[in-house]
Amino acid sequence: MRNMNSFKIQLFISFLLQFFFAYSLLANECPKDFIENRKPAIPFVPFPMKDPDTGKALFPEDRIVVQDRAGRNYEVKAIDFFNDVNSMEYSLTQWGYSLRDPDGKYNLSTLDVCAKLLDKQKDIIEKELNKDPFNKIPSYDEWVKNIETALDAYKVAIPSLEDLAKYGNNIKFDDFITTVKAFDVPRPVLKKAELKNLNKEKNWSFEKGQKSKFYIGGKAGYKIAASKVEVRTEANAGLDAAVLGVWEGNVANADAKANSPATQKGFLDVNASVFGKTLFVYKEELSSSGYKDEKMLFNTPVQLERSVRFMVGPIPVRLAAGIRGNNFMRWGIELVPLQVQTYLQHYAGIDAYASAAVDIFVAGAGVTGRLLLVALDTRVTAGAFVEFNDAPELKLELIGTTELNALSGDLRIYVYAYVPTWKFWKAFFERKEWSTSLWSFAGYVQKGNIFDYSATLTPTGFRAKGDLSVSDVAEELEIDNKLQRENKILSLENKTQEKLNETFNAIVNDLKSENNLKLFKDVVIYSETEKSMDKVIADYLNELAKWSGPII
Amino acid sequence: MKRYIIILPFFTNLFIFINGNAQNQDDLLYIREQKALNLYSEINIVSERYGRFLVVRDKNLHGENGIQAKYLQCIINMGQWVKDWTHIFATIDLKNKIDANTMQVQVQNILSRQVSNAESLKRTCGQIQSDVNSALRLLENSPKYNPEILSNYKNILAETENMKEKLTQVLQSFGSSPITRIDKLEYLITLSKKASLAKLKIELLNNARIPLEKTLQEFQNILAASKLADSALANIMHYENNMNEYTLNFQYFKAKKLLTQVQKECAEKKNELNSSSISKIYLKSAIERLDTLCKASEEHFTFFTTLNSPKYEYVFNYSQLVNANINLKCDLQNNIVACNKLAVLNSLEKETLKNLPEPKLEYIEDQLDSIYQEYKK
Repeated sequence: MRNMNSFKIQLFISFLLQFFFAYSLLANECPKDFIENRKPAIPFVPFPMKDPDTGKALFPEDRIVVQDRAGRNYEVKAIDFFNDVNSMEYSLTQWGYSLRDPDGKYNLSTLDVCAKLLDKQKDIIEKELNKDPFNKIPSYDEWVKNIETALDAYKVAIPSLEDLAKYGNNIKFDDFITTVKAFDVPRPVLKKAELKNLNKEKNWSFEKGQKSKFYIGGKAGYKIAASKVEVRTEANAGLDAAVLGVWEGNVANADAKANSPATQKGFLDVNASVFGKTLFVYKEELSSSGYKDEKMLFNTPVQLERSVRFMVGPIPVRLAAGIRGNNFMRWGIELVPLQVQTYLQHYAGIDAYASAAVDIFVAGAGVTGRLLLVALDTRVTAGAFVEFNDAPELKLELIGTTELNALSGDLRIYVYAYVPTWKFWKAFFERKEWSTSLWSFAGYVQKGNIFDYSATLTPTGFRAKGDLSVSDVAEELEIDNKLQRENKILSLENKTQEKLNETFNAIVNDLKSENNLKLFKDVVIYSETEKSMDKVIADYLNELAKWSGPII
Repeated sequence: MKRYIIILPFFTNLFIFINGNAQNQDDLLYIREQKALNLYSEINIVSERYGRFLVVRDKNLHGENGIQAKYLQCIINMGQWVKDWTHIFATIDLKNKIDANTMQVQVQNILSRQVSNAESLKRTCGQIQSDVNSALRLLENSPKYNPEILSNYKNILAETENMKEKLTQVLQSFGSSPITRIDKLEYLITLSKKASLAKLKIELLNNARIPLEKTLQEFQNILAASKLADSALANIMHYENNMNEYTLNFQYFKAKKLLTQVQKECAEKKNELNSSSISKIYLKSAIERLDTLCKASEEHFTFFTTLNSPKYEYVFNYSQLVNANINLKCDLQNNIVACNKLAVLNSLEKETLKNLPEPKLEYIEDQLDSIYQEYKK
């Protein structure tokens, strides 16, 4: 009977281990799920079926009364009791431990948190967040400055407008010079160029941990679009989690859409859910031309628990694991025709916890430690505006910051053996614990900007600033290009031809104009004037000659 | 079931063209694009060239205070000046007169006025050449276009070059003629004096009552005194006017420069007049006048010495004065040059001026002056 039990247990252990092994082999960087503190097996010496107080042998069907740690009494058959004790001892000996070991706490295995993976994730997070928004000045500018200083020193004696221009206030100069025309042929007044639409979408997400152990993932995103006739924003934020491979899913999610056209009614459409269940829905068509509101989309405690069979080393336990904490999402909006300003704040503070129990009477189990799954405070603000100065201008702004704390803490399941009632056993067992560490990691802490982007689009150009990703910069350079390069070139050719025609027409018209004919007249004016002046002088000299004789 | 780690910070744009013909198509497109861009660039160059031609023609040459107007005015004034000499001959008339004193005074006045006007002509007519030089520089700085790219339009372009040539010729004539003529003014003055002396002699010979030798001698003295004093007086009177204007405008550097010149010329002339062999009777009023004018010029300058402000303050004040008193519309094509100048000058903050050395401050004042002279209300 004992052998059957231990055989069953062995099978079970090996099955579990194989499963874990196979499962984790596929995670390239993390081949082992458990770090086993396994020692070489020691000989199994079973406990004889004897009353420990009196030394009297017991019959299998004898009933004995046992008391657990909480003080409750149980009546069990001796055979069952000793089978349980001995199977526990057998399992332990296979790992090199024993119920007869000295007092203390023994860590049998650690759920491998795969340090490599976590480090990698940490690096990525650090790169994503913008720690230092200001660019360093490259040394090339310093070099140019030195040259310019030397040139200036040289030029002190020879002032010129180019020289003075260096001292000027560039902003003042720019303001003034934009009103000044350049040398050019006379051109017809330009039609106003069509203003294209301006769209921007920014997304941010993170994933930490492993789904077979503890996992937390989050996202926040913003999409804004502005055109001459309306501005639209869409915001979303969410949190996913997974616990010990037994539960995986969405903890909280919200999305909010707002639309503000120039002349029609705007609308708002907001949805929020927790654990997949919708908690908040808001749809409204806005009747007034202005709208301002702040809503708490949800402010709920988070509680979810699942049970799972788990191994503490070789010892099977029942584990209940879950997540609990607080979670709220707040959203605010201010809307007038052609302007939208919104913000979204997602706060979550969620712990992962576990509690454990064992099937056999002679052992108890518990869980210690705390695992902070996530503490997150993300704020995203966005605005889109259409302004009309000389020409329509679209402006977008997206700023996001976050404070993220994830997966910090440690969680340990422990199993302890106890035998109540018989004082001997009680003293013998109670001070031993065997544990498995489920999680031990310092966690992630990140604080910073997740995105910071502002852009302006006018008929004559596009400017973006803030923390621009590579794609933003590429977009800025190509904003006027659509994907069809040929169309772009065709339009360039047309524009060129148009300008060519315009220029030469203007030139030909001017060559025929009165202003130009004046040049021909000037030649005549000159010769006539000179002739008449020459005559005046000649006449005068003749006059003089009357008095002083002929002038030589 | 493959398990992999997904990290998605931002969406990235990836365009992957999987097209065998892409290379060829791209080449063709590239060629077209380059052709269009080159053509566009040439059009801009041609536009700027013609634009400069337009500004020089319509503003510098034919504008309200342009070279053509100045030329015509110069010639008209010069013609008038020549004709004005005949007054002298009309004045030298001794028929039925008993003494020549009144005549002499009148002659002195006419002479002095003619000399003064000659000096004024030298200034105004001489200015034209420097205006012409500025205009020609503007034309010369035109960028060059590539005739091959615009070969379809070579006829039109040839015509524009012809007109540019014509403009240059016209400018040069308008500039050089006044210079040549003002070189002759002194000669005309000398001739006029000689002729008037000759006429006087004839008049005296025909009038027995007025002593011949004495009157002739006196007349010669008048002429000599005029030669010595009149042009200097005319110039120093001009300086005094300028000095007054400069101090009113806070044009410190011009005033300072003028002061040096005034002091030098005043000293020289005073010396010359005092040590001259000509009798003091003829020079007395000239010496007094010179003294008054010189003193007045120096007195004007004491405004600066009393105020004793740092130099940049003067330049700053002048710049404000200029800005408040010009009629300069910068959206007009014709004012491009002055507006560009003004953009640079006005972008200099007072704090910057503080740290500039004097040569630069002087230059700033000078440039402001050129704009002011051209556009003052």
